[in-house]
Amino acid sequence: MFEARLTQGKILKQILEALKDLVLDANIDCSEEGLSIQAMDSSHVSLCAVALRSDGFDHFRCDRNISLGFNSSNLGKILKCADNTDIITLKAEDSADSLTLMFESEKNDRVSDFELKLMDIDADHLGIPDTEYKTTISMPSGEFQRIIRDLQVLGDTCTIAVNKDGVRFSVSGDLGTGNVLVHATSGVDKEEDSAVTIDMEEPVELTFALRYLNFFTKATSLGPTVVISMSPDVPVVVEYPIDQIGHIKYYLAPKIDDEGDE
Amino acid sequence: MVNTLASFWGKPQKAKSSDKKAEAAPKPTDDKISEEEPIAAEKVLQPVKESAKKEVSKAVKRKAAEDDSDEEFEFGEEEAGNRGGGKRRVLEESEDEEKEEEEEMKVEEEKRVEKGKSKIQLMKEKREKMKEEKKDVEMKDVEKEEEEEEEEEGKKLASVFTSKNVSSSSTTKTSGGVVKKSTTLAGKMTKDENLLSEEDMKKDWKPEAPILYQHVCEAFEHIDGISARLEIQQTMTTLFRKIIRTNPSDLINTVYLACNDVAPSYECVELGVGDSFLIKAVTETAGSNSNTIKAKYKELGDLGTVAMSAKSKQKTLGFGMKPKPLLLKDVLQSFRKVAAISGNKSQAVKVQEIKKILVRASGQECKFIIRGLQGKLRIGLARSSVIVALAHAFVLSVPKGVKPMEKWVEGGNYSDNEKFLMDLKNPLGERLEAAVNIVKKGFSECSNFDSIIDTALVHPLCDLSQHCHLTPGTPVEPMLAKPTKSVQEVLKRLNGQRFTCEYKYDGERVQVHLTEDGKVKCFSRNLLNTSDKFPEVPPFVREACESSGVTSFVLDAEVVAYNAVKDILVPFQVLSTRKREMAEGEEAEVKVIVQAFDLMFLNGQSLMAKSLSERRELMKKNFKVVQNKFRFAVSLDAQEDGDTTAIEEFLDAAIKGQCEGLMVKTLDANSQYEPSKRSLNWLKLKKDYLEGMGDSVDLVPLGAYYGKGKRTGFYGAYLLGCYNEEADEYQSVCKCGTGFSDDALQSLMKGLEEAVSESKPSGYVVSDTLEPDVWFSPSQVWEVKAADLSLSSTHKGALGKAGNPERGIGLRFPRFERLRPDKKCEQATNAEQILDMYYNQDSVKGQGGDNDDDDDDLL
Repeated sequence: MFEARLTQGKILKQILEALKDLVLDANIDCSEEGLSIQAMDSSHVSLCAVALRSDGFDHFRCDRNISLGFNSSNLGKILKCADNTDIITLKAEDSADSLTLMFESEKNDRVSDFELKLMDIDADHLGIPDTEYKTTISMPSGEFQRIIRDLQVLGDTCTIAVNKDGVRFSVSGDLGTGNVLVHATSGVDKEEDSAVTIDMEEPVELTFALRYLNFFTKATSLGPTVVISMSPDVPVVVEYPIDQIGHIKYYLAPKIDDEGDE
Repeated sequence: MVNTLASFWGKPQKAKSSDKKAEAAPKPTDDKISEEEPIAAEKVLQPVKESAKKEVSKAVKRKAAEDDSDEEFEFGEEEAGNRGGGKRRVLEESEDEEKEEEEEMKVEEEKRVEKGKSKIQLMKEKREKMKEEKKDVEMKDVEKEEEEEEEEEGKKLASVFTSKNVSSSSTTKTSGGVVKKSTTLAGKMTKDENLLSEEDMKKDWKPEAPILYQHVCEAFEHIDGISARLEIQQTMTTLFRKIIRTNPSDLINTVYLACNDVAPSYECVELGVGDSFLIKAVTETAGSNSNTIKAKYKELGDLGTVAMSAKSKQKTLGFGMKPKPLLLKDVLQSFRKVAAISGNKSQAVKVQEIKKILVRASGQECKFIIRGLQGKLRIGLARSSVIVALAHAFVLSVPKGVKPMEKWVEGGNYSDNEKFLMDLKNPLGERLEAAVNIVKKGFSECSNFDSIIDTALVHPLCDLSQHCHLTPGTPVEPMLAKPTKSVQEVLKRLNGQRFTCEYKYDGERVQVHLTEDGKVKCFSRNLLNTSDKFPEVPPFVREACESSGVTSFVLDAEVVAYNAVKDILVPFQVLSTRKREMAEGEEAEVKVIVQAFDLMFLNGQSLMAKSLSERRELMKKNFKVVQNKFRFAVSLDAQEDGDTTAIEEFLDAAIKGQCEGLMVKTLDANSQYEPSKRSLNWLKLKKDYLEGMGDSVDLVPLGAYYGKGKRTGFYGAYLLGCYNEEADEYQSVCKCGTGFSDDALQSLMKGLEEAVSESKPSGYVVSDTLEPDVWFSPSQVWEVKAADLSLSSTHKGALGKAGNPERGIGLRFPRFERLRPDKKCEQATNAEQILDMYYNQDSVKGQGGDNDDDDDDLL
């Protein structure tokens, strides 16, 4: 028996929004610790990992570990039926082939429940290594979204370079080039949501497909900040912490710099 | 270049290359660490397993080197001596030799056949000894290697995942067994294997393992680089033989991929994948955007290459999982799935399916997947070469389980080719040729690789014809004819033989089958079942053969539209207005008649090998003319004696009789039925091929379409128009892509540079469906020849004047002749002339020309 009740139902709605362009089918893995979703996009270029701790729910019960395989667009359709203010409860039997979603309105004057047929998804669970990243940038998520959106006008790959001046996002394309330099916030404002902090061991410069970065920014509404961690030659991690309950993390494999080799 | 995540935490492309470097480092002298040997960490295990085999073969080669005083081999030995006994060195050594061996094989394959026999003795002896000596050494080396490998790995990757270690150590445990197995396998090799000694079997060709797509791609890539047909066939032969040796069940898949088919051609399975689907799939896999991909495509002209480079620029995520290597059968299966997807949202599903394999593909694999899906491998590998290679492979590497060919016993029911093949005393080269003929014949009769290969894997090749032959119910590729330009040319080709001229009817080719169970089926020229389209044909034919009591047959005929009242034939344009499928009981407005001209199968017997005169005799004996329903093609038999008048008169009569022209066929010599072959034994003499018949027209290029493939960088086709004086406008009449020499393509493009117009010039009457990539303002006049003129819904020549306000006249099969610098654009053929030419055609004169519809033919 699995049951989880979340007062802030909109978090689930937003997570689905943040997933569904990238991932077609995925498993919700339920355990005593909480819910997690891990899925690669069909090109195996990026990976999305969601973790929601059990203590973030009002009520959480999971007798046995189960995996609930869903199609993200179908689940998205059902979650569209929930208001942002609704309380959402997820329920499934141990060997169920469907997931029950119950939406209770804020004033408790309406209760709707939906049942989503589950699917068998044979996805290999990937062991993501704990990597020490050379640089970690924390910045307002809205700011990041805006930069990515702006740069997409000009080209399809974006170079993110971190050095002591700050973070430079640059793009070049047929139209021309674009650069956005973000400095670390100094002094007093450091603790604010709007602060930019850069934690750098050594300068890092990587290139990514903007297409994917743009998909990641769909998670912007989940939290005020985004944390970007990079090391040379490994995938970047773009993490959106979700207040009090968990996070959504995206991994993206960098582009290979091909200057001169073709 | 795009990375997938696999490359990071798994076995990344990057890591691969660094591994390679690591291996190269200790021995900088060895410049032959070949690129084609993926010495990535994961593969190192496999060579170890096969190394015993290699040691053996090496020894053999040393011996051979002494015998032949082959310098290259001695060099190899010296090197080994200098560098002392490291296991890895030995390995690479044998790889080097493998390469040499391969090269040598290509150059003097024949020679080696002779030598092979003496070598085999040596091989066997050596093998026995080596087996004993080496096994122990190998085992130690295996472990040593393993440790080194892991150390290196540890350095390369920040974190090695436990699962990986587990799997590698378990492989170590089993490798002893594998060594044993491969040596015994080697011991079993028989004489027939002499060309493909085990050195050719790369380490990753493990027995029984499914064949990797990569292997096929390597062969394709090699073929791409060469143009000599023999070499291409040889490459394919080697590939097929390796597959026969390791995993014969994949042979059929390889053949399908090499022919770029997903099913026998008569099943008419189409991939149904347009460039736009592929661009989308590539874009999404490579994390690029479609405009970049499109621009690259335009620049390179090959989406496969674009995909390859785009994909290699994006790494993938793997998080410790090895990417599953792409198997040959996966690719074919995927192609078949793509072909089978239809209906609503099929595009998205197809793209998904394509992405699935693209994700797993790397390097060349992407290129060939995309090209495969486009339907053109473009490596110059013809189906005929595949068949030749297949035949060779079956002779040189007799599949396991096939009885060795027995000496032909007098009285056996074997053809000459089969007898020749069976006699091992005959020279190998000629036996191979006999095998090719057998396979070709088998294929042409049952046009289904599955049954040929299934048979050849179980039965000796000499019995192929007993199992694969023409069967009523399965269509056979129709025999085709070579076009000729003049009566003289025809006579020259006939060269004194007895021949017949038949009317070439302007209808649809149809193959009528009567199966033993009494069903009659019709198939089109493309082997499509047309029984529904022509429901009246089966009863017509049945009626014709009623009296003779035949039990089964395959009849070649032409279905022609027919006006029973006036007793005249009606042109194809009318026939094509018939519906594709006729509802039950519905009667078609357009009546047809069957004009039979050949019989390939009768009462359980294939007649293909019989001469035309015999076949025709049997046909006339067993079928009877039925008024308004069934007739034989009008024919004229003659002996070539240099006199053209008879043929010319007959040709005139044919054209007056609403036929396209004549078919000229030899009656006795070389007159067997040869499916799908454009043979010189059948010649077609069409009115529009004849010089002096039909005027050429002078047209103005209105626009052009970018070329693909060979014509990349040029315009591939031009949109041509005639001048309409009444309205001072240009009306499109055809899209022309033939008749251009390479020089002409270049000079025409240059000449039109200045005429390129930003947008569609005013006064152009062109339908939207024909919108070219580039517009030209009127600047040149070209002389163009065409087969004929017909009403079209896309073209606008003399729009609205030919009986139908919506439709114009278009040219069929236009062909560029030359530039007319002497003419101004306004002096181009005008709409009035086009209209006159249209009405002057015999086919139109006959029936007023008000119901043509053959847009499909308009190029």
